[in-house]
Amino acid sequence: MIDSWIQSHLFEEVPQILGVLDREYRIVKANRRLASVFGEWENRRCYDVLRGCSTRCEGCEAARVFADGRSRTTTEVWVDKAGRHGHYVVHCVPVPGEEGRVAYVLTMATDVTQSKHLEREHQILFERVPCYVAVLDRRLRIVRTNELLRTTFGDQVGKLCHEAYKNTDERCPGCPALRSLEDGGVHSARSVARRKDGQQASYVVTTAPLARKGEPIEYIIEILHDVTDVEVLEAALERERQFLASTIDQSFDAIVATDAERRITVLNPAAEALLGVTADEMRGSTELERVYPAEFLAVLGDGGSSSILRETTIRAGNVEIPVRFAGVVVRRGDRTLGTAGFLQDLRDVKRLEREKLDAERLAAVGQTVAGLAHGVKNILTGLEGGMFLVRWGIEEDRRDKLQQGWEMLDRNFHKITTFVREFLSFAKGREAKVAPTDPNALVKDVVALFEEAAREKGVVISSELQEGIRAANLDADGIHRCLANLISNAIDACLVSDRDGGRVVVRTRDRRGCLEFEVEDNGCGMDAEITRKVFTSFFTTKGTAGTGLGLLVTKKTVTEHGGNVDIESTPGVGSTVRLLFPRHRLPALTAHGDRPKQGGREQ
Amino acid sequence: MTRPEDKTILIVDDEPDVIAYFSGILERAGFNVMTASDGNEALQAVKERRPDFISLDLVMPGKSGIRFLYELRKNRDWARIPIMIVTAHARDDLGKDDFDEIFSSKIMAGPLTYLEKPVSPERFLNNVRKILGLAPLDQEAGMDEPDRLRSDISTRLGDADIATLKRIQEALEKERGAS
Repeated sequence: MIDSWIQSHLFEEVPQILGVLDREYRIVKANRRLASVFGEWENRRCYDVLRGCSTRCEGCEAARVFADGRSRTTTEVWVDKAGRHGHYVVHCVPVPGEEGRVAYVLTMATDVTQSKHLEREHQILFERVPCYVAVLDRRLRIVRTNELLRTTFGDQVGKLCHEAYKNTDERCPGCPALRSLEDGGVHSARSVARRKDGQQASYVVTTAPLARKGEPIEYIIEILHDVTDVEVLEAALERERQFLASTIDQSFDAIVATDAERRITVLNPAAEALLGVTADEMRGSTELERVYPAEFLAVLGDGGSSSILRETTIRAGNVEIPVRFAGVVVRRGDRTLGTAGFLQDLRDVKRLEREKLDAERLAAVGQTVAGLAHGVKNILTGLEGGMFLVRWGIEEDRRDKLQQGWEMLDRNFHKITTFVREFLSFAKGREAKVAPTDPNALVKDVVALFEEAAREKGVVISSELQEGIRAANLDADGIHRCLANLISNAIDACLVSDRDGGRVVVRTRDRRGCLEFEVEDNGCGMDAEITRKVFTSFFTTKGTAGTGLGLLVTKKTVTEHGGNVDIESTPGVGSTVRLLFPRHRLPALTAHGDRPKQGGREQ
Repeated sequence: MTRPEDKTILIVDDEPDVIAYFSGILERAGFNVMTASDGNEALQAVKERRPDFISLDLVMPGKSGIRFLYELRKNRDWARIPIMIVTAHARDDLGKDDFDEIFSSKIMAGPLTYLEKPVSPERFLNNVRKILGLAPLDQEAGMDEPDRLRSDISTRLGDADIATLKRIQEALEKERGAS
């Protein structure tokens, strides 16, 4: 039964193309599959049907089978009836006839066009992939390489992997290919290889077995990725990091930084010294109040981005340290990367400032005392003169000389009395009582004091006061006396001047952190020589009318406030005197509960 | 033999008391005296009558002593007039620069001396006489006790510099702080 089915049906049912050739290469029998692919075949030659040729193919397999009677398998490219090329695996089997000769050849063909295409694509992929690919056998011998690898390293097929890339007999330590052979997994390693142009380059080598799981591993695929550029960047980045780290370490300023979660990440040695902490104990801490001033913490709390504080304090243990601070939130785009703060220890600066103020005060005192000594000299000369004239008058009985001498003595005794009184009040001025004072109110007081008397003498006093000036720490009595002195001088200058319409203007100003009082007159003015000398020592141009102490006291009082006196004057045009008080140099408030010294102040 | 009556002396000072004092000394000694209260007046006086000697203050409003000297030297004859600087400011900021300039350079061709205020009548007169070639009066020897003390005080005051005075001031302050 089965035999009869095979005889009648097999030829048609096998999933292959079947044809029988006679010795003339004519197709004498074929199945329907052949007809459907290649079309009409009866009494046509095989090369005509299968390849569209008019002559027999070179190296014809069928001819060999006819010759020696052995079966053969080969691959052929045939052209179907639509003219498409196809790949076929062809099996040729001899069919014996009489007298032992091969009468026919049975040709059985399988269409492998699809798998041929796949193979080609794999081939292209292997060749063109933009990295270096090699296939190694179990002994690490290179059996195949791709185009890029050949271009860069030359044709290395047949060499051992380490010979090819490194020109060495020894296997590389930690060879990923060996590990892949061992465990069937994917491995990678860093390696330096020499290219055929002699250049060294860095690669990441990745290896994988060319076998399915469980199969014995015969081959390893090895992929090299050039990371030279990455390494150059990494090195540059490392240098940058080193540079930054040593800059931060060596900085005189304390530097603190946090990450985005406000954990402290950087605290340099200067910060350790300033804050009395160690970087180790603070790293990772979120106690920012120990490293940032309260003002910056407030800015951070409000979502601000930076703050610069010319002067603030930071608490280190139990001590408040004066510092200058700059803080910033480091952002990239919308992302917060962290915060950084720079603290400058102001203790030395503060000390120097204090010492400078002290030195200036002392110098003012020295000048004052020297001036006083010279004042005494002048009065002594007057007394000496008076005594001489009196003696002359007595000795020669000259009433005129007696009279003149007596008047001179009288005048100089009066002068020394005034001098001593002023000197005493000047000396008492050292017990300055510093309190917050409204500068404008102070000026109004003094101006009111002089207005009436000045008007009677034909001089008009007015004031131009800047609005909204903050109160300042001043010895109100002292500054009051200075202004009174300047206004009195200004009125005198107007009276001495030849012109009518004497005018004195008192101004206040607060600009660039400096409080200013200004007294301007249109009086006689002074030439440069006198202007220069006015404050340098004891000096008067008012003859016997002045003691010369007024400006000296003014200078001393202003210096004790950390301030300066500035004079501009043009003979015949007028003078402007300015008292300048940089606010940051103003004295501290007199401590509460200080009792005034005995005797109190005169007037 | 030269006599004081033959000599005319110009006194330049801005202090009327000083003028009265010095002119008193010189008049009593028999000299002729002219006075001026600043450099301008002094120049005017010299033009009117060439003095034989000038007592000159340095620090004065208007034309100062040194500026007067620079005017004076323009006339070759006037430049030979003996000058005596009488000042309280030889060593302070006010007069030091002028003083040094006058004594370190050859502004004037004639004799140049200086006295520091305050000055006793005897010293003033003897200085003038010496430069004019008149015999000194032997009065220094006859100085009484107050005179000597006075002269001592003036010398000390004249010698005190700012540093010394500052030290004195500091000592006094310390004393005050302690009491």
